[in-house]
Amino acid sequence: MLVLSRREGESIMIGDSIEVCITRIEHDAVKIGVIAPREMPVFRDEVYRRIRESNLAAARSGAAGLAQIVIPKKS
Amino acid sequence: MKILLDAPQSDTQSEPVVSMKLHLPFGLIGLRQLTHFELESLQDGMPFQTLRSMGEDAIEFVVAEGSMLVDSYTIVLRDEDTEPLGIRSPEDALILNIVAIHSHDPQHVTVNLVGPLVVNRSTGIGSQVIISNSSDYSSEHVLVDERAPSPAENSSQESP
Repeated sequence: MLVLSRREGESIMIGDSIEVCITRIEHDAVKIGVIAPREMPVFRDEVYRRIRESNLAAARSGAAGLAQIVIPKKS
Repeated sequence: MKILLDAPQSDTQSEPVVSMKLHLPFGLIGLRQLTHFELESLQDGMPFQTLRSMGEDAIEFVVAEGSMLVDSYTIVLRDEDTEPLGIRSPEDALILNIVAIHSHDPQHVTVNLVGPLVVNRSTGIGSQVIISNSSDYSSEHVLVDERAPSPAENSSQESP
Protein backbone atom coordinates (compact mmCIF):
# COMPACT_ATOMS: atom_id res chain seq x y z
CA MET A 1 0.00 0.00 0.00
CA LEU A 2 1.23 3.48 -0.83
CA VAL A 3 1.43 5.59 2.33
CA LEU A 4 1.81 9.38 2.11
CA SER A 5 2.10 12.01 4.83
CA ARG A 6 -0.25 14.95 4.43
CA ARG A 7 -1.10 17.96 6.56
CA GLU A 8 -4.49 19.56 7.04
CA GLY A 9 -5.61 21.19 3.82
CA GLU A 10 -3.30 19.13 1.64
CA SER A 11 -4.51 16.74 -1.03
CA ILE A 12 -3.49 13.79 -3.07
CA MET A 13 -4.50 13.16 -6.65
CA ILE A 14 -5.48 9.73 -7.95
CA GLY A 15 -5.13 9.86 -11.70
CA ASP A 16 -6.40 13.04 -13.31
CA SER A 17 -9.86 13.11 -11.87
CA ILE A 18 -9.91 12.04 -8.23
CA GLU A 19 -8.78 14.39 -5.49
CA VAL A 20 -8.63 13.35 -1.84
CA CYS A 21 -8.19 16.26 0.55
CA ILE A 22 -7.42 16.10 4.27
CA THR A 23 -9.82 18.80 5.37
CA ARG A 24 -9.50 18.45 9.12
CA ILE A 25 -7.58 16.42 11.67
CA GLU A 26 -9.19 15.94 15.05
CA HIS A 27 -8.20 13.76 17.98
CA ASP A 28 -8.92 10.34 16.61
CA ALA A 29 -10.69 11.19 13.37
CA VAL A 30 -9.70 12.67 10.06
CA LYS A 31 -12.18 14.54 7.88
CA ILE A 32 -11.56 13.70 4.26
CA GLY A 33 -13.01 15.46 1.24
CA VAL A 34 -13.22 13.55 -2.00
CA ILE A 35 -13.78 14.99 -5.45
CA ALA A 36 -14.49 12.23 -7.92
CA PRO A 37 -16.40 11.83 -11.16
CA ARG A 38 -19.97 10.62 -10.90
CA GLU A 39 -19.13 7.19 -12.22
CA MET A 40 -16.79 6.70 -9.26
CA PRO A 41 -19.15 6.75 -6.29
CA VAL A 42 -17.52 7.18 -2.91
CA PHE A 43 -18.69 5.23 0.12
CA ARG A 44 -17.53 4.54 3.64
CA ASP A 45 -15.91 1.13 3.45
CA GLU A 46 -18.17 -0.59 5.97
CA VAL A 47 -21.31 0.78 4.31
CA TYR A 48 -20.12 -0.26 0.87
CA ARG A 49 -19.40 -3.80 2.07
CA ARG A 50 -22.75 -4.11 3.79
CA ILE A 51 -24.71 -2.99 0.73
CA ARG A 52 -22.64 -5.16 -1.59
CA GLU A 53 -23.24 -8.21 0.61
CA SER A 54 -26.92 -7.37 0.74
CA ASN A 55 -27.08 -7.10 -3.07
CA LEU A 56 -25.22 -10.36 -3.55
CA ALA A 57 -27.50 -12.16 -1.08
CA ALA A 58 -30.54 -10.86 -2.95
CA ALA A 59 -29.01 -11.91 -6.27
CA ARG A 60 -28.38 -15.42 -4.94
CA SER A 61 -31.88 -15.88 -3.60
CA GLY A 62 -33.57 -14.38 -6.64
CA ALA A 63 -37.33 -14.33 -6.88
CA ALA A 64 -37.91 -18.07 -6.73
CA GLY A 65 -40.44 -18.94 -4.06
CA LEU A 66 -41.55 -15.38 -3.72
CA ALA A 67 -45.18 -16.52 -3.74
CA GLN A 68 -44.62 -18.51 -0.55
CA ILE A 69 -43.46 -15.51 1.40
CA VAL A 70 -45.92 -14.30 3.95
CA ILE A 71 -45.11 -11.01 5.58
CA PRO A 72 -46.98 -10.79 8.90
CA LYS A 73 -47.70 -7.05 8.75
CA LYS A 74 -45.93 -3.74 8.67
CA SER A 75 -43.30 -3.51 11.34
CA MET B 1 -31.44 21.16 -0.28
CA LYS B 2 -32.26 17.70 0.88
CA ILE B 3 -35.21 15.73 -0.31
CA LEU B 4 -37.41 14.01 2.20
CA LEU B 5 -39.34 11.08 0.86
CA ASP B 6 -41.97 10.68 3.46
CA ALA B 7 -43.63 7.40 4.05
CA PRO B 8 -47.33 7.54 3.43
CA GLN B 9 -46.71 7.44 -0.27
CA SER B 10 -49.55 5.00 -0.50
CA ASP B 11 -51.97 7.89 -0.02
CA THR B 12 -50.51 10.26 -2.57
CA GLN B 13 -48.95 7.70 -4.83
CA SER B 14 -49.74 7.61 -8.48
CA GLU B 15 -50.72 4.36 -10.15
CA PRO B 16 -48.50 1.48 -9.09
CA VAL B 17 -45.89 0.66 -11.67
CA VAL B 18 -46.97 -2.37 -13.68
CA SER B 19 -44.00 -2.75 -15.98
CA MET B 20 -41.14 -0.39 -16.54
CA LYS B 21 -37.66 -0.45 -17.98
CA LEU B 22 -34.99 0.86 -15.64
CA HIS B 23 -31.53 2.03 -16.54
CA LEU B 24 -28.96 2.25 -13.76
CA PRO B 25 -25.89 3.59 -15.60
CA PHE B 26 -23.55 2.62 -12.77
CA GLY B 27 -25.17 -0.69 -11.95
CA LEU B 28 -25.75 -2.05 -8.48
CA ILE B 29 -23.16 -1.73 -5.75
CA GLY B 30 -20.94 -4.79 -6.08
CA LEU B 31 -22.72 -5.75 -9.32
CA ARG B 32 -21.72 -2.91 -11.59
CA GLN B 33 -22.30 -4.92 -14.74
CA LEU B 34 -26.05 -4.96 -14.14
CA THR B 35 -27.30 -1.74 -15.67
CA HIS B 36 -30.53 -2.52 -17.52
CA PHE B 37 -33.56 -3.94 -15.79
CA GLU B 38 -37.22 -4.64 -16.24
CA LEU B 39 -39.43 -3.92 -13.26
CA GLU B 40 -42.67 -5.88 -13.05
CA SER B 41 -45.47 -5.76 -10.56
CA LEU B 42 -47.00 -8.96 -9.31
CA GLN B 43 -50.64 -9.57 -10.00
CA ASP B 44 -51.90 -10.52 -6.59
CA GLY B 45 -51.55 -7.25 -4.79
CA MET B 46 -48.45 -8.21 -2.85
CA PRO B 47 -46.13 -5.33 -2.05
CA PHE B 48 -43.32 -6.99 -3.99
CA GLN B 49 -42.16 -6.41 -7.53
CA THR B 50 -39.57 -8.26 -9.54
CA LEU B 51 -36.58 -6.54 -11.03
CA ARG B 52 -34.98 -8.62 -13.76
CA SER B 53 -31.63 -7.72 -15.21
CA MET B 54 -31.54 -7.83 -18.99
CA GLY B 55 -28.96 -9.56 -21.11
CA GLU B 56 -27.20 -12.84 -20.58
CA ASP B 57 -27.34 -14.57 -17.21
CA ALA B 58 -30.35 -12.54 -16.13
CA ILE B 59 -30.74 -12.15 -12.41
CA GLU B 60 -34.14 -11.62 -10.88
CA PHE B 61 -34.35 -9.50 -7.77
CA VAL B 62 -37.28 -8.95 -5.50
CA VAL B 63 -37.92 -5.32 -4.67
CA ALA B 64 -40.58 -3.34 -2.88
CA GLU B 65 -41.28 0.26 -2.10
CA GLY B 66 -39.96 0.53 1.42
CA SER B 67 -42.87 2.64 2.57
CA MET B 68 -45.18 -0.30 1.77
CA LEU B 69 -43.25 -2.53 4.15
CA VAL B 70 -42.14 -0.28 6.96
CA ASP B 71 -44.26 2.38 8.59
CA SER B 72 -42.93 5.91 8.35
CA TYR B 73 -39.98 4.95 6.19
CA THR B 74 -38.42 8.33 5.59
CA ILE B 75 -35.18 8.83 3.76
CA VAL B 76 -32.91 11.77 3.16
CA LEU B 77 -31.06 11.89 -0.14
CA ARG B 78 -28.09 14.02 -1.04
CA ASP B 79 -28.38 16.57 -3.82
CA GLU B 80 -25.35 14.97 -5.41
CA ASP B 81 -27.40 11.81 -5.85
CA THR B 82 -30.74 13.28 -6.91
CA GLU B 83 -29.71 16.15 -9.17
CA PRO B 84 -27.98 14.07 -11.84
CA LEU B 85 -31.14 11.96 -12.04
CA GLY B 86 -33.29 15.04 -12.57
CA ILE B 87 -35.19 14.41 -9.34
CA ARG B 88 -36.34 17.71 -7.89
CA SER B 89 -39.16 16.66 -5.62
CA PRO B 90 -40.16 13.47 -3.80
CA GLU B 91 -42.94 12.85 -6.33
CA ASP B 92 -40.34 12.52 -9.08
CA ALA B 93 -38.69 9.58 -7.37
CA LEU B 94 -39.53 5.91 -7.35
CA ILE B 95 -37.85 4.34 -4.33
CA LEU B 96 -37.24 0.60 -4.56
CA ASN B 97 -35.71 -1.45 -1.78
CA ILE B 98 -34.08 -4.77 -2.55
CA VAL B 99 -35.46 -7.80 -0.72
CA ALA B 100 -33.32 -10.83 0.10
CA ILE B 101 -35.05 -14.17 0.62
CA HIS B 102 -32.40 -15.94 2.66
CA SER B 103 -34.55 -19.04 3.13
CA HIS B 104 -38.15 -20.11 2.51
CA ASP B 105 -38.53 -22.73 5.20
CA PRO B 106 -38.11 -21.47 7.80
CA GLN B 107 -38.79 -18.10 6.28
CA HIS B 108 -36.07 -15.53 6.62
CA VAL B 109 -36.57 -12.42 4.55
CA THR B 110 -34.87 -9.05 4.87
CA VAL B 111 -35.07 -5.76 3.03
CA ASN B 112 -32.29 -3.26 2.48
CA LEU B 113 -33.53 0.09 3.76
CA VAL B 114 -30.12 1.81 3.65
CA GLY B 115 -29.22 1.49 -0.03
CA PRO B 116 -32.42 1.92 -2.07
CA LEU B 117 -32.66 2.28 -5.81
CA VAL B 118 -33.69 5.84 -6.56
CA VAL B 119 -35.30 6.13 -9.98
CA ASN B 120 -36.70 9.08 -11.85
CA ARG B 121 -40.28 8.02 -12.56
CA SER B 122 -40.46 9.78 -15.91
CA THR B 123 -37.08 8.76 -17.37
CA GLY B 124 -36.58 5.37 -15.73
CA ILE B 125 -32.99 6.31 -14.98
CA GLY B 126 -31.77 5.63 -11.50
CA SER B 127 -28.99 4.76 -9.16
CA GLN B 128 -28.42 2.77 -6.01
CA VAL B 129 -27.59 5.32 -3.35
CA ILE B 130 -26.79 5.28 0.34
CA ILE B 131 -29.30 7.38 2.23
CA SER B 132 -27.91 10.23 4.31
CA ASN B 133 -29.80 9.06 7.37
CA SER B 134 -28.33 5.57 7.09
CA SER B 135 -28.01 5.24 10.87
CA ASP B 136 -31.82 5.27 11.13
CA TYR B 137 -32.25 2.01 9.21
CA SER B 138 -30.74 -1.39 8.56
CA SER B 139 -29.50 -2.91 5.34
CA GLU B 140 -30.97 -6.17 6.66
CA HIS B 141 -34.26 -5.08 8.10
CA VAL B 142 -36.11 -8.27 9.02
CA LEU B 143 -39.49 -8.71 7.36
CA VAL B 144 -39.99 -12.24 8.61
CA ASP B 145 -37.68 -14.58 10.52
CA GLU B 146 -39.03 -17.95 11.56
CA ARG B 147 -35.66 -19.46 12.33
CA ALA B 148 -35.19 -20.87 15.81
CA PRO B 149 -33.24 -18.43 17.93
CA SER B 150 -29.63 -19.47 18.31
CA PRO B 151 -28.47 -20.76 21.72
CA ALA B 152 -26.43 -17.60 22.18
CA GLU B 153 -29.52 -15.44 21.78
CA ASN B 154 -31.41 -17.66 24.22
CA SER B 155 -28.83 -17.41 26.91
CA SER B 156 -28.51 -13.67 26.57
CA GLN B 157 -32.27 -13.31 26.90
CA GLU B 158 -32.40 -15.52 29.95
CA SER B 159 -29.46 -14.10 31.80
CA PRO B 160 -30.20 -10.95 33.82
